[in-house]
Amino acid sequence: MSQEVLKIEGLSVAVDGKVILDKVDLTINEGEVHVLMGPNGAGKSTLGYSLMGNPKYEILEGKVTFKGEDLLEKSVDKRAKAGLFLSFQSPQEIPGVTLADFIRSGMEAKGERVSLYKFKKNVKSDLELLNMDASYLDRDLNVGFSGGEKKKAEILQLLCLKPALAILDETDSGLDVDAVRTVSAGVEAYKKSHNGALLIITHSTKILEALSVDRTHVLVGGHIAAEGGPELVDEINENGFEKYLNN
Amino acid sequence: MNMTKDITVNKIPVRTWNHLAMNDADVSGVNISGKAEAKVAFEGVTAARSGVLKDKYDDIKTSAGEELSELLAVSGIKPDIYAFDNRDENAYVKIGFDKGENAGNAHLLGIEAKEGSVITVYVDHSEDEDMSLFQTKLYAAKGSLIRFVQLFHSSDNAVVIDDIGGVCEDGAKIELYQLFISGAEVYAGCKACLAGNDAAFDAGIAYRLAGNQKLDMNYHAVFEGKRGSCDIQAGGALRDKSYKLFRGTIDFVNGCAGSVGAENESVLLIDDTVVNKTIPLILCAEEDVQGAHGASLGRPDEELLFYMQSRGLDRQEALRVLEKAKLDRVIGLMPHAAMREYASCLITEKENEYE
Amino acid sequence: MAEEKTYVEDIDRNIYDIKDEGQDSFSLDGGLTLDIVKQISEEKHDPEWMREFRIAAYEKYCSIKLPDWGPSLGGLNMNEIISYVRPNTKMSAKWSEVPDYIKNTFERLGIPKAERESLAGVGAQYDSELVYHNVKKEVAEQGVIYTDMESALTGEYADMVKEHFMKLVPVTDHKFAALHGAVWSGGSFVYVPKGVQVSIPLQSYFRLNAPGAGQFEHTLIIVDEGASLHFIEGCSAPKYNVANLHAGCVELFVGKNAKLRYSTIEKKKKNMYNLNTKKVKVEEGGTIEWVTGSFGSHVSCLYPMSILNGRGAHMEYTGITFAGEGQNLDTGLKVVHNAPETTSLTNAKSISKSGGISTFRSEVIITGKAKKSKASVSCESLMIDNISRSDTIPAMDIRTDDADVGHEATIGRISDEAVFYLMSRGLSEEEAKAMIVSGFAENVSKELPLEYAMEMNNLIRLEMVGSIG
Repeated sequence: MSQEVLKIEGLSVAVDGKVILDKVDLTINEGEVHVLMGPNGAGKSTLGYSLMGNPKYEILEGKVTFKGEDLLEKSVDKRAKAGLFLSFQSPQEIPGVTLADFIRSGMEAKGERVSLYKFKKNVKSDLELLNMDASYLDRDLNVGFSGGEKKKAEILQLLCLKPALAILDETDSGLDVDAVRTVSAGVEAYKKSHNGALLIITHSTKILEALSVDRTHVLVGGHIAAEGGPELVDEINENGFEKYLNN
Repeated sequence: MNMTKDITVNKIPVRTWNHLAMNDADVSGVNISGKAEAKVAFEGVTAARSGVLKDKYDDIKTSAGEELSELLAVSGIKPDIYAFDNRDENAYVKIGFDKGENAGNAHLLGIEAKEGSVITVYVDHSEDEDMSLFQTKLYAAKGSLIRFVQLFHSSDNAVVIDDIGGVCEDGAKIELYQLFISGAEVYAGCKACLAGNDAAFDAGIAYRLAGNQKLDMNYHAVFEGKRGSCDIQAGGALRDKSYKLFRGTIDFVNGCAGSVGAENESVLLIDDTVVNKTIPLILCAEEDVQGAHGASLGRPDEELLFYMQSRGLDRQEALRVLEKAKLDRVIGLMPHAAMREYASCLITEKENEYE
Repeated sequence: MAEEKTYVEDIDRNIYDIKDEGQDSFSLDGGLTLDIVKQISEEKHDPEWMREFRIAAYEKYCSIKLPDWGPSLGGLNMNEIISYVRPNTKMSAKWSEVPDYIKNTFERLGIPKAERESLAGVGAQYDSELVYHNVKKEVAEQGVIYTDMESALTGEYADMVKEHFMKLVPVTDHKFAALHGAVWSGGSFVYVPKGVQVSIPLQSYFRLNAPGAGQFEHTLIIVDEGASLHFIEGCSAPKYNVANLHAGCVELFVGKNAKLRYSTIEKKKKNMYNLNTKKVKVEEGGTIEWVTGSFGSHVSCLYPMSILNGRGAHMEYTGITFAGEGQNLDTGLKVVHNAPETTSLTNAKSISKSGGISTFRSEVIITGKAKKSKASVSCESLMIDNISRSDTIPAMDIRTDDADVGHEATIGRISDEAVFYLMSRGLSEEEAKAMIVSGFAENVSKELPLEYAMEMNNLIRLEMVGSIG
């Protein structure tokens, strides 16, 4: 029996006074791959943001344990340091801060000392894997990046920061076939090298091809409407969410 | 009742280098001969019996500033105050001024919109010559909307000082539209105070100046309540030896969290002898706000002129079209078709005068 | 005084000659007398013309009123300032009397002890003479004259100095320009001959130990046709003086097709009134680049002025101002387009925090001669909290139809979403904000030599986090 990484119990969340998540339960063990599916507006991204601690999301009730500790009482940076990672759907652009400096700051926040030289050397293989030119490291964080480049930069951060659990919020959306394959290779590398757990929020199955899915959760109207194994992904792809909508 | 005084008007709230001559405007020989008689036409609306503005009138601050207000106070002229509780978007009020022999040259106006109501007031300024002074105070009660529209098409000798102060309560909005078509020397402006939460002030200002015309403007939006919004759009064209000074201030007072203010000016310079001055200020004492201003000042786009010429207009005609477009933009914002048509006629009339 | 040739006389004088007619908000009595001015002149062994110049400037100083705009100058103690410039007065303090915040800042910036004492105005002078002499020798091989103003007055280039001294910034400019003319002391003179490209930046820091330097110093730089130079004005730490007024004067002449970059990182002690006047005249095809970072001072009024006087002359201004607790930093620029096809590009940023006030003030003037000119101003302000203040006061005066002037200003705060994003990668809230602010200031730091850029980042971190990482 592998160890529990994340345990969500009865989590309810509101945004601007509107309840988005309603008593959600979900448990992820070390190294497991979970998929979270659901129609638009079901609250999938809300779950990601709430776990990461975006102050806009108000926790109404519930408990979240991350590696045995209470996650919800931690500040955002403490959650990151504890090993939680969120790949943003549309990451912020920060002018004047280079991608390299940003990633190094994240690594150093975890207590890792890395010189710029050493960092650039170490990150070379990751860049190759993601089909990214080394010049991206010196560009301002996400500024002028295309949608695909932003997503790749997120995965590069995932590979460098090596979290215990990564939540990928529609990391594959808006990407062409080649880019999905590249991103997927990055995710696979993270999984292999590090036995990291994953919670993948997605609409498509392409990103899942190289991974073996352990559990699938279907989120509808703010609560988990169905759960199952990898077969549930295929079923939903065929039949959609319709049958869960009026439950 | 006849007195002459030199006064300073249109001060910007924060001064800068004096040599720029933008901090304020001196008007010499300001003379008040008496109260101008207003002709008021009510189109589908009647004025409500009483309101709160008569008690607040003196406290509402205006763009021209204290010196003009003091002068008007000394003259003893009482404001004509109208309160409205109208819901009909089609209704409006049109005000003009009597030009009879014994008519005075100063007028004070008050417009109040009661809670949840909407009123549009058009003021037609066709002053003949010499000096005229106008002061208007607008009071928009909770959730109400006042649209105040002024058409300045005075004679080429007229000196006009036009002064406005407005207050918006919770959720209220003031829209100000001004067209400056003619007049020798015009001092104009509006100080709008967004006192309540979610209040708004929008201004659309257009001018077309030629000859030795002078237009000196001062707009000031004061954000006091939370989540206020303001959009000041000014634009126009300058020819010959005309002079234009635009002052626009977005003033975020501490506590006005969530407010958004924008101002923009776009000026077409047609002759080499014009004087075009612009000073768009943002004053900010609150963190949670967004303010932006922009200005683009310069010659007409050559590509655009070329395009129009390729369709058969000569250069001068093409410039006239661009010039008129500046005015048309604001006319398009006026809510009543009849008044839009009237404004368009005024412009064409003036155009024919030039030719 | 004999006829006073000024270098801006060919420009429409109306733009300049309307003097600020302010009311005295307080009087600057006490202090400066004609005798003191004469005494200063004597001590300095001024040539006769300079002695007359000082006396005339003193008279102007007495008659010009204080400005009626901008930050209050009510905290200026003219008595203290004047007794400091009075010759033969010992004003050096003791290390033990230097305020703790200055000492702590030195500590945190990692300034060596010896240098700290020098910068604090106490103890032995830090010996930068040696560095200075080496640099002087290196550039002298290219024919560049780099010397202190006092020796320039009597040296080989005395005529050149006389021809240019306070012609661009006349003593009638404002009260503190007049004061400067009367009591100026120290500063640098640089002459770069035709076609010479000076490869190393010259730094006024090398000359910091000249008595009275950093207070009323006069900088005169002439870059001749086709030559280029980078001059850096700054000291490596908050300089602690007893007197709290800095009224220096910088006059720059950029010849045909010449190029000058003038960089300033200003971080004086926080009780300083910084009222420096800087002006440049740029000839045909020449370029002036201002790179400026304002961090120190209690009150600053800094508006470098560029007169683009020849066809195709170009100005670039890149500046950042960080106003923290107790600071009122009024910065910006003036640019006059006075010839055809001149261009100017302004990129100004400001940050207000902990009750600090930052003001961006500018004037862009396009005269009737400046056909086909282009001016673009972009100005961004960042409010870190809601007890601070940030004002933007840009004035534009355009007198030709054939020009293109664009202006943009925005004001805002650090977005919560950006902070959240950085924190999600493990940065604390303070670190995240410091990183965003450093990024915001990057347009300036990337224009600076590495050691200055690092220092600037340290200054930002110091303001944002309270420590240097």
